Amino acid sequence: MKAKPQLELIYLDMTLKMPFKWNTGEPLGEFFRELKANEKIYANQCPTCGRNYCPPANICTRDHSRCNEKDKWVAVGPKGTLLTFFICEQSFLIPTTGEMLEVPFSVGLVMLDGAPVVLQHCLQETDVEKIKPGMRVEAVFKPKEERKGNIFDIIHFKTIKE
Amino acid sequence: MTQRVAIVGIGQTNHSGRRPYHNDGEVIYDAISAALADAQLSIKDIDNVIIGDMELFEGHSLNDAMLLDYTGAEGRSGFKMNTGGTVGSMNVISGWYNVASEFSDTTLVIGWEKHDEGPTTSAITTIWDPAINRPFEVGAISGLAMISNAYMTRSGCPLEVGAIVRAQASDNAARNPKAHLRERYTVQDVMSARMVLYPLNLLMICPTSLGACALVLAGEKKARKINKKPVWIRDHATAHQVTRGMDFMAEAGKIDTSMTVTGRKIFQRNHITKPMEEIQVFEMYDPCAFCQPAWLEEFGLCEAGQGWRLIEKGVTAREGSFPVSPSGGTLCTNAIGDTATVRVAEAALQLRGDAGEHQVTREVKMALASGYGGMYWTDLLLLSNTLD
Amino acid sequence: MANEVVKKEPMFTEGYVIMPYKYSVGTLASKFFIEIRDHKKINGVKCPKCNIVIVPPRSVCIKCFNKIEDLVELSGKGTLVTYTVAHYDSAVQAMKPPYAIGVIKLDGADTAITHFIGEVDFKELKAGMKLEAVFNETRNANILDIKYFKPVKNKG
Repeated sequence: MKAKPQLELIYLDMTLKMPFKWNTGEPLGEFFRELKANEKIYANQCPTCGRNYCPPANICTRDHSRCNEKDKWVAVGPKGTLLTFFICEQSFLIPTTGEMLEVPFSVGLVMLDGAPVVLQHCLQETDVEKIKPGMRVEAVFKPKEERKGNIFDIIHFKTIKE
Repeated sequence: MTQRVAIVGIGQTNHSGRRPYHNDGEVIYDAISAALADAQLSIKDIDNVIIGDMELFEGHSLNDAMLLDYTGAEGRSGFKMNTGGTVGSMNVISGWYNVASEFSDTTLVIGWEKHDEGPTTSAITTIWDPAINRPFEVGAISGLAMISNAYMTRSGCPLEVGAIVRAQASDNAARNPKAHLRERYTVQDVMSARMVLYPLNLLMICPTSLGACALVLAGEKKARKINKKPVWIRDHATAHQVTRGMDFMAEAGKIDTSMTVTGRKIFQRNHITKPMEEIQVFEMYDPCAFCQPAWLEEFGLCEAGQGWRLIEKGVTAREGSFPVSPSGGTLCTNAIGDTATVRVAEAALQLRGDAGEHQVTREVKMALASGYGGMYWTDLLLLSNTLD
Repeated sequence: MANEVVKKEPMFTEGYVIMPYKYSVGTLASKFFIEIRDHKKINGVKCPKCNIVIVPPRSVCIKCFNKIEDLVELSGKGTLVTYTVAHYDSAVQAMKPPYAIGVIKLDGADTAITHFIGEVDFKELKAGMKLEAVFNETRNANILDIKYFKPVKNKG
């Protein structure tokens, strides 16, 4: 008995490549300008309910009021306390570059000194044994000439001893 | 101008990682055919079609239009839902609105995904704000890893509980022919799996599946004529949660999440004071192994800090006193656009007593089904097999 | 204060969404594309219930919702139903403008297929004109194996 011939199946290989240019808007734009020019991380506070945001928000998500006045801004960090984290051991295609992610890759939520806010960023440490929620970390900035006014003006947060 | 709404037809495909002989429309058609057969209806009896999946996963937009002939929506009303992870339950809720308002007598609801066709992790990564969060996210799982890690720190939940949840899910899925990952694992097996995103290893996160699930909804006048065992949608609640990245993780455990809000609404409106007794089964959208312990607490089913202890005691097992995801859940089957529709379908099967080998041992009169995703949103549905 | 912020340079985040996809066309459409690649033949599918002939193939009948499993052979000639000429250029287009796109009803089919129209003076385009398919030398089992449709020249 002959085996049933296998039907050749057709696939379409395609690549989705969509360029985007995302206007950060204000006050996030001002947040990035301060990162670039002065190595300063800012948070702001809703003038109505007092909730804090980092990066600064222009609309309070709790009471929907606008909070774009810079006089409600406070500089926070660069030191802070690690709240939680992940370590990624699995590479995947980064859609913004088309390249594979370099692993291990660790990201933490850092509660910055100065206001009750959390910033998400990379951690320098990728060894799970050496990362503990509650440990102290500090932002490491790129040299001034390399800063472009985006979130990568901070390279990562490094572990510090106090 | 309102009527009560019942599920009168249930159909789902087998789920798998690949299905090379079929395109997306064909997968959907299988689920629809099964649902129509279950209701003993033909497409002519349907007057409204609602379909939903994840954007960008298959690399084409407006796929409801592209798939019109497969869905049977030609000449009918209806629309596409696109709410991310909750799309599968938002489909059902939209169907409920259409039928309850008497706009439609019979609505066909379709959730589907063909996860094998695109880099879905990359696609999901595009949901985050590119200026702030996107470079740091790894698909859907990084947020879950963060939540899990924070829950473990907050409640003292040990890593092993995640493995218990997954081992339990694997036993349930082994009994469910529609599930994707059907291999049985011990707690030891799960603990020794390859780490993906600490604390989540490969077995503690949901797979990428393909499949479709379809439901036929009908108003109370028609429902009993169509199906002898209608399952009633008693109530539903949706809550959105704004999380630009995870800004408010600092307040985790102290502020209401989308689960807290929906749970409170459903229990208050239906005068449920002891949810784990008055409700007998919960098909939870549980995309990682720590969702069950954390969310039992957040939905208000048990006290804070007790979720993982209930799991250790076996309460949530298929034979337990409050089974959670007896189908194997999202941990074993996750064709995202259909995942929450499957939760509703599986809860309905439990209420009908038609779940076969994965039927829970406890008698089921009332059930919960949830949907989750689209940036930490939650849908919660309360189903029952009577209208009393 | 607020006005001062607004006057500074606008900030952007620039990047791409670059993602590879592998789309499976399904069993029936595989047969359709293999016929084009190997035999330069454009087939249709016929609904066994209502006899409608559909090109390009769909495995569910658009009229009666019946399942379709078999191909039927067509001639590769057809009639122009409607057309347009593209003068607009964007990153995703497969051809440089200007070029003509037509909706072509193949002889024997009940539905129409959309494709380029080549070897034609745009001024001569007219609904109802007869067209025939021209195939590429190298074919990869996709819809661009058909290079375009061109007007059928009257003999003599």
